[in-house]
Formats: sequence, structure tokens, C-alpha cells
Amino acid sequence: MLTTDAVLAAIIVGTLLSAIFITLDRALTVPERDRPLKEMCADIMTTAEKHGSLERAWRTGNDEELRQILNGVPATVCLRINVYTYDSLKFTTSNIGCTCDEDLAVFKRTFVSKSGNQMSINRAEVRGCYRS
Amino acid sequence: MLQILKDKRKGFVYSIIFGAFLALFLLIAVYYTQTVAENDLSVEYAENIEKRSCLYDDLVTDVMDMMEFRARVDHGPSATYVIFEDKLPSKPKINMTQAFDDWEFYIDEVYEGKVNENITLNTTYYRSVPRAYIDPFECYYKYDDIKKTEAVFYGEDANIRNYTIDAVVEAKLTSVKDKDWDWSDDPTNLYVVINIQDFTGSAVFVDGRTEGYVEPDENNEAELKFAGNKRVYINAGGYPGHGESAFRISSTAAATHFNLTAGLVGDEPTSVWLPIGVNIQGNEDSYAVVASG
Repeated sequence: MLTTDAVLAAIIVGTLLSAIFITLDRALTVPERDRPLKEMCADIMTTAEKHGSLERAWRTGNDEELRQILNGVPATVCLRINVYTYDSLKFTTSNIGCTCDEDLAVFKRTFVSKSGNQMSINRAEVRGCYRS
Repeated sequence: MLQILKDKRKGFVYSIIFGAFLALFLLIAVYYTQTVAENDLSVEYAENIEKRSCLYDDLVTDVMDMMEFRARVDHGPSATYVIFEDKLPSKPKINMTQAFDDWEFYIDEVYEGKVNENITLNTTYYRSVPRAYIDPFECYYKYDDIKKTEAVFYGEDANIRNYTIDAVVEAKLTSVKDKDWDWSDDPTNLYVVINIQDFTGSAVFVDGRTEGYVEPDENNEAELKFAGNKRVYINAGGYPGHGESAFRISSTAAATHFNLTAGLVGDEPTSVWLPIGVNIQGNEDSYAVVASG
């Protein structure tokens, strides 16, 4: 027969167990949750370099090609590509309509550009988060 | 008396229940702590492996971009095809030695800090002998210099069966001098397909043909002349200094974009690598693998 004490005890035990599971589950899933985003950032930069999109954008100053790549990512993701000349920011481009309060993934790549008689080494990075 | 005994039994049961719950909480805490720790380690390990793989790929891609070539490996029945997508000559006014110096300096001084990894590069040997190694076929794809005006595929001739050169030369073809090129009437161990066009689309015929067998030990040479006194040379067979069954293309002035496919005997897992040392975070030195398959 259930007494008031037993019901109260069951509620307390249930609350404690729930608190423990929720706290530990959160700690467990954070690194895993960010992995697909990091992999997406790596894929985007690798593809952009190998297809020459980074180099063309840097050489011409036209970021349209990079913008198209970014607009092709899932709507739940916000990405921003920063392109540097040597170590100075040259331009930034991002997918439409979102900004990140905190970057959950950052991925960097160098790329080579030959222009006229000059070869230069430059860098690009993509920063991303989930759309809130 | 009975009430005291009942209370004692109740207290005993409560103690057991309390102890059981405490043990349960402790077990859950220990289990989760271990799981989280193992998961974090595996995630960190996987991310480090992925990060270093990406860094390695980034550096190797830089080298290929500087040298303006790509390589890939395909397989067919009992054959392996190694394909080099290339361009001759390199931009002649670019100082390639300076370019390699700048690249190494940038990786050392800027990039290392940005990616928080210790990276060591060694391009010294490659700069003096710029060639790719094709394993396990004991074959090579070599430039005359890092300025590259000439590319030669050569190596263990028993492993080489055929070449296909697909090329476009950015100049107008004026004539072909092919007195040193002899197609063999009988099958030999080396078959060559020449698919070269000038920028107007005119095809190059060597001794009246575009494909056939050649003697692997004879230096078959054709000189392709283009407007502006520009010349492209192709050699197949025993190119001096490179053994038998070699293939060479040379261009000092006419920009030539080409795909050279070398057909090798045997369907083997193949690796194409450059003797450029790439060491990330103190791991074992590895060479720059530009293609595998």
C-alpha cells in the first residue's frame, strides 16, 4: 500500500536519477555533436582548394563561387569563410541570413596562387556553428 | 515489544534500500565517468588523426599546385594506369627556388601557429631531383628541373606496356619533323598513342600515324614545330639516360597542357609519391603521396 512517504521518496529518487542522466548525457554528447560540423568544414575547404575556388576568389576578388558553395550547405548550419593574403584578412563571405555567437568548428588551409611572375602562399579558414 | 521489533525491521529495510540506492548512484557515476572519458579520448584521437590527415593533404596539395600537376591511379584488367595531368613549361619568370623557400617559411612561421601543430618539411632532395616515384613498379616521372621544361616517364621497362599522350599546345602547328621516329610493323612491348592538337584543333601526325608499336630500345623522336619558332619534342622508347620504354615530352616555349597515361603490367595497389619529407607533430617522417589506388 502506497503511503505519502513512499510516493514522495519515489518522486525524489526519480528526480535525482533524471538530473544525473541529463547532466551526464549532455557531457557525453557535446564532442560528438560537433564532429559532423567539423567534418563538413574540412570537406568544404578541401574541395574549395582542390577545385581552385579559393585561388580564383583570392586572385579575382570575386567571392561568388565561395558563396555558392556555402549556400549549398544544410539550412541548419552557419558557415563563414575568411580568406587571407599571407596573414592579412582579404575578404569574408558567409551563407545568407545567419551569424555565429560561438564558432563550434574552425578549419584552415593554405593555398598557392600564381599570378603574373609571382607565386604567393595564402590561407583561408572556415568557421561554423549550428543555426540557432 | 512487538512495536520495537517492527521498527527495527523497518529501519533495517530502509538501511538496505538506502545502501542499494547509494550503490546504484555510485555505479552509474563510475560507468558514466568511464564512458565519457573513453568517448572523449576516442573523439580526440579521431579528431587528431583527421586533423593531421587534412594538414598532410593541404601541404601535398600546395606542392602539386606549385609544380602545377596532378596525378591519379586507375586499374584495368591485369593493368595499372598512372595518369599525370601536367603543364610545360612552368611559368618561366617565376623563381621556383624562391617559391619553395617562401612556402616553407610560411608554413614554419605562420601556418604552424595557426593550426597549433609542429610541422617539419624537407624539400631539399626534391628540388635537386624533382621526380615522382611509382611504387611498386619501380618507375619514375621526372622533370629536368623544378622550372620543368621536360617530363620523362621511365623505369623498369618490363613493367611498362603503353603510353597515351593527350595534349593541347597553345600555338599554331607549322610542321612535324619525324625522321627519327619509326613505327614498328610488328607488335613490340611498347604501344604509343599520340593525341596532340594545336590551339586551332589541328592534330599532330607522326610519320603519318597517331598510334602504334615502337621498338622499346630505340630512341624514337619527333620534333613538333609551332608558329613563333616554338618547339615541342616527344620521345618514345630508349630515351638516352633513362633506359628502355621511356616517354619524354619537352617544351621550352610553347605552353603545353597534357595528360600522360602510362600503362603498367599488373593490377597492383599503387602509390605515387614525391621525396618531400612531411613531419607533423613529431610523428614518423612520411613522404608526400600525391596519388594512390
